[in-house]
Amino acid sequence: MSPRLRRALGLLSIVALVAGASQTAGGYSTLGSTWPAGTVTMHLSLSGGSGLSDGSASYNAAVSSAMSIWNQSLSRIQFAAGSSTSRGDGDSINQVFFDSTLYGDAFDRDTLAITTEWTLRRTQRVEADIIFNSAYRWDSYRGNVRSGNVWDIRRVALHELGHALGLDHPDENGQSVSAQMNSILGNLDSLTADDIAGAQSLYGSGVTSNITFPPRNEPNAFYQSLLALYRDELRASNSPTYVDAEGTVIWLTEYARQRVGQCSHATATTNTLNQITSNGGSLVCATTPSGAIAFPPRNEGLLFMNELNNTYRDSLRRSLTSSVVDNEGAVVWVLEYLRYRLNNCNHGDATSKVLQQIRTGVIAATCTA
Amino acid sequence: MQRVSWLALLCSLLMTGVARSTTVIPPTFESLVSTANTIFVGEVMDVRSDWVNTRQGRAIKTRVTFKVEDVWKGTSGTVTQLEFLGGTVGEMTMKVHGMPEFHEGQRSVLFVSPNVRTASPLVGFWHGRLRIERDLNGVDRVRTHDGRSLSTPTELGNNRPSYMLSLTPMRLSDFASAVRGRVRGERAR
Repeated sequence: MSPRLRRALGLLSIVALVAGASQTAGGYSTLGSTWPAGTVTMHLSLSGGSGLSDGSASYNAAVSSAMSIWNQSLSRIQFAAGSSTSRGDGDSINQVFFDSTLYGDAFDRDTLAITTEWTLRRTQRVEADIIFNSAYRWDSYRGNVRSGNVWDIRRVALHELGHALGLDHPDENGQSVSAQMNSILGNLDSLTADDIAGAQSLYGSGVTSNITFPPRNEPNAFYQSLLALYRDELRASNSPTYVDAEGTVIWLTEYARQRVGQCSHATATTNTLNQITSNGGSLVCATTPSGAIAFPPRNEGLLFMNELNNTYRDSLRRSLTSSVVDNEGAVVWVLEYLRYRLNNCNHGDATSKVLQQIRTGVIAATCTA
Repeated sequence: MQRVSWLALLCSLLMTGVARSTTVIPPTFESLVSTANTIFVGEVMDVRSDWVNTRQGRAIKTRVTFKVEDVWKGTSGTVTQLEFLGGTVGEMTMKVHGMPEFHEGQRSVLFVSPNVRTASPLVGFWHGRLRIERDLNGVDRVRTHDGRSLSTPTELGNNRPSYMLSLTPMRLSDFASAVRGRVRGERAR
């Protein structure tokens, strides 16, 4: 990479940092797999639990209550309680129970509960078991976490059921939000708007984007200019890739559209790759708020690009090829072009501003409406 | 999966009565170093998943073979294996939420628990794995298990939002010095 390009990318990281900050306003994370539409039966065999603080008749009743809370936010699937008491893994039956081990392996000493997830072809959920660590004392109560080593089974169930749905920890995916799905158990005893938005992104109906992206030929034309600059001015050498130029532009644009449509990195990646492999729909997670349109940080764009390469290699069986624009350059400059376009610049201005930024390292202002 | 730190809970209750937040934190740098039986830098040579019979049916386990580049605490051969619950066999994937996943060629710093018969053999389940990446200048740098930039060891366990972190992770060599210094300090006590 030339010093000039490195300087330009370095300066752009400042923009990425700001963009990254704006992404933290909201942002559940998903695991990339979902249940088919219908009923997801969880067989509850949590023995005991009389005299629980919140009046629940049993531990099973408390967990059933957590399932009902999630159900209020789900459209395409619903949890239902089953009563099978068998305990088996890898049997396509969803079981919830207490145990002192995790299928014979010890629990980590700090682990309250675990959810195992079974998926077919990594995308379709076929089983989820939730195992509560019997080494702990359990109750069911609202409010702050109590002292005395007594844990609220309902809020832990809310969290584990979120994993069973396909939600990840937002705080471990670059987000800073109030969420029951955060990795750290706290005094929050209910679902938050972010948890619900996450569930609805997987099992809700989705929304049509309220943002108009440029027609496909224009980002493609920009990319041709970018290729020429890398080849003729930067004299960049070829870098290996499985994604051709058109695929790079189309799918980076779709990833950006999902992100602008309030999808987290993981959800945007899943939604975009589903379009490639299974003709998934093009709905986004939520309407974009008015004002300046924030873009994802470049590290997340690069993670998406890596996944896109893997999909082209493994699912589409594309051969290795090469491009003078490496993956990082493609991500940074295509997203930068789109950022200008969505912030009132026409194709010519956006192209000019990005190419000039590469040449000089100076980040031009966006355009005014 | 949610985890709880007893020390954090105790501290939060003592400091603020019934605390609103921070009842749980991931392991700190000090805790990772002191709890680990072995700390090494390894490159993944091989990842193999197989069905195993358990007392409650069957499960998938993944054996990860590492080429050991450097050992910072304890002892290890030049090649070592760790076994994790979960993995993919054919079209079926079993995943334990939060379990670290490894791919051939990846380099990591690994804090191995004294009890390797747990679902994850690493200290703090997934927290005992730090990622190594080589920057454009060929310098090895360190990121947390979930890819966050690590600029100082004390950021481990802080769980700070990513936008507050430096974009440039610390050098692996600096992190090694910090770990080794901590190990020497433990021995001195």
